Amino acid sequence: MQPAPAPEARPRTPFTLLPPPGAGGLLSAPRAGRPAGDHRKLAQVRLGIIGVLAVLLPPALIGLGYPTLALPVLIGAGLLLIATGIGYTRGRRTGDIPSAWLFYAAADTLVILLLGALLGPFMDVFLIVVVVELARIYRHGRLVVAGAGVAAALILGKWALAQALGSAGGWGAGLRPADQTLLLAISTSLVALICANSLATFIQHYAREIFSYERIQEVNAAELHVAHEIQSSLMAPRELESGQWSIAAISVPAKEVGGDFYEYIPALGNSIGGIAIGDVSGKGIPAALQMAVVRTIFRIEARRRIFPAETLTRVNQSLQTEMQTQGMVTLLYAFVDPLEGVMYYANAGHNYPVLLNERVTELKLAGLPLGVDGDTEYDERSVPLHPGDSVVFYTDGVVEAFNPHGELFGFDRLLALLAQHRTLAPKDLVHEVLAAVEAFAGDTAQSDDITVVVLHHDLSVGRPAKGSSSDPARKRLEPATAPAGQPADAVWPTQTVDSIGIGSLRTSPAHNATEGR
Amino acid sequence: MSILIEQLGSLTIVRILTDSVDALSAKEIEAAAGQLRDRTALDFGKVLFINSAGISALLKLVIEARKQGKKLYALNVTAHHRKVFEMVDMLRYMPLTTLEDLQAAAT
Repeated sequence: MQPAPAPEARPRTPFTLLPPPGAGGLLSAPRAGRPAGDHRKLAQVRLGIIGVLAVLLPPALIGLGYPTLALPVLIGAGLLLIATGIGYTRGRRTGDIPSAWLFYAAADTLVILLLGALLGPFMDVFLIVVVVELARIYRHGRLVVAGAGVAAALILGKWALAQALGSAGGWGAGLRPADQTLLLAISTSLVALICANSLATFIQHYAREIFSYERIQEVNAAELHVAHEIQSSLMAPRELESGQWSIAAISVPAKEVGGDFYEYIPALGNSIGGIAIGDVSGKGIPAALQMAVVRTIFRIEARRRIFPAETLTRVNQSLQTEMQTQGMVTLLYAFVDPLEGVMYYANAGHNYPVLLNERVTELKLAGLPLGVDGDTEYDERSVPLHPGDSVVFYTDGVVEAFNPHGELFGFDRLLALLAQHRTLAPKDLVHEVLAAVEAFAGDTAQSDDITVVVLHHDLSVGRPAKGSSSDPARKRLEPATAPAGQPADAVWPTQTVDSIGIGSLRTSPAHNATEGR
Repeated sequence: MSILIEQLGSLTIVRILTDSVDALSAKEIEAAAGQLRDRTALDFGKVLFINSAGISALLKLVIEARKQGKKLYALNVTAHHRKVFEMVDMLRYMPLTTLEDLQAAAT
């Protein structure tokens, strides 16, 4: 069994315990891209806090009877002030603000280490703080959690040991029990503060990332929806009628936008003329962009000439010079002589159209896709279309739809379906094909764009057009029927190709075969 | 690695080991083009799906090989892809054949 291609996974936000690049925290760098003005303000705040601590804390400690603690605090504050000055100057000079704040973080870490060394008995606790902070700065999230856990366990263990053994426990020897308690309280608070800050930074980061991811998704979805609307509005009408001829079409992209397209080229005073169906390799936005280029080139070339083979040859040459095609484009172009009831067609690697009359006949004509070889010249064939006949054009998304068992819809299933429903009106036949593919695929994600176009030569002669002009989906082949907001010749060129003369088409030496009945 | 290159006398056989030929695996096949000898067969025996990017890359490969005077053949192509190859005119540049026929032709 053929495995169904897995639906494309929705991009996920990685949820690893890693801090954001340059994420801001008490001791670390702010977010990348923070403007220089913020940098100055943050440096001022930082200087202010350190200055206040340097001015107030030592006298307070001395006043409380802990003069030995005042000196380390003063030294630490002095180092932090120096580090802030250097970091701010570097940030202004280089413009690399996150780098400047990483410098702050490194200085903070060194000061903590120095304080830990000066405080002796609590060195191990501060070392853990250093590990936690360094791990966070260097983006090892799991180390942060582990470090915080070890730090908490060590602090609690030390506190329990102190409670059990008192000052005779051997650690903190030389200090008064009251000093031990104070130092323990200070170090514990500091560790808790730093660990909480680290964890809060992570939480903030992921909350921000999740929210921004959702916002980006919303913006992307909105933009894709607009792109879908634009692409849909550029597509030819889904239904057309002109005298004895009628067309119905549907195109369902696998994503919001796709690389399939269909196009009608009017002839004989806006009667049905050319019908093109194409498929740009790939899907999504790249295919849609390429499709827009191909479609534009095709429309220009198709207006200049009438022969399908010549048109495809020129489009292929233009594609070689106008764009570097990364992939390929399959394009089938058929031109109907409505008076004689003959369809002329050329094929650049597209799926064979299927003629429906008493039989189901694939109109086999092979050709290289566009964009593969600029030297290619295309063949052309013709087939009579009698009243009651239909021709089905489709893209490979139909035959390459997968079901949940990984099976292809396939050519045989399509031909059998068309044989079963060959007498349906174009609109009904289009929907029958689409419904059959959808039913076959079931829950399997649509893997490729699907487009179906049905051309029908009505049995009744000169019967009134089906549907009313008030039906928005139904368009008449008249210049006035261009979609709202578009000039008429954006869809139907006012300079029609009837002046070229259909009669000359039948004498073209390019016609090398006739198929059909 | 999604391809395996074997030498069978004067014949190079490029066995495609992946079940899906897309742009990525086609690139590998394309990269192997430098090793193609005058007669090379691409074995699609394990291939179940070829997307349009894969078809495009294969086409460019076979046309380039043909321009260099090399002969390419396709082995073990499914009925579905035989038809796809036919529609895109690939069979003109890389006809279908069997290993037995290639070996018989070589002797």
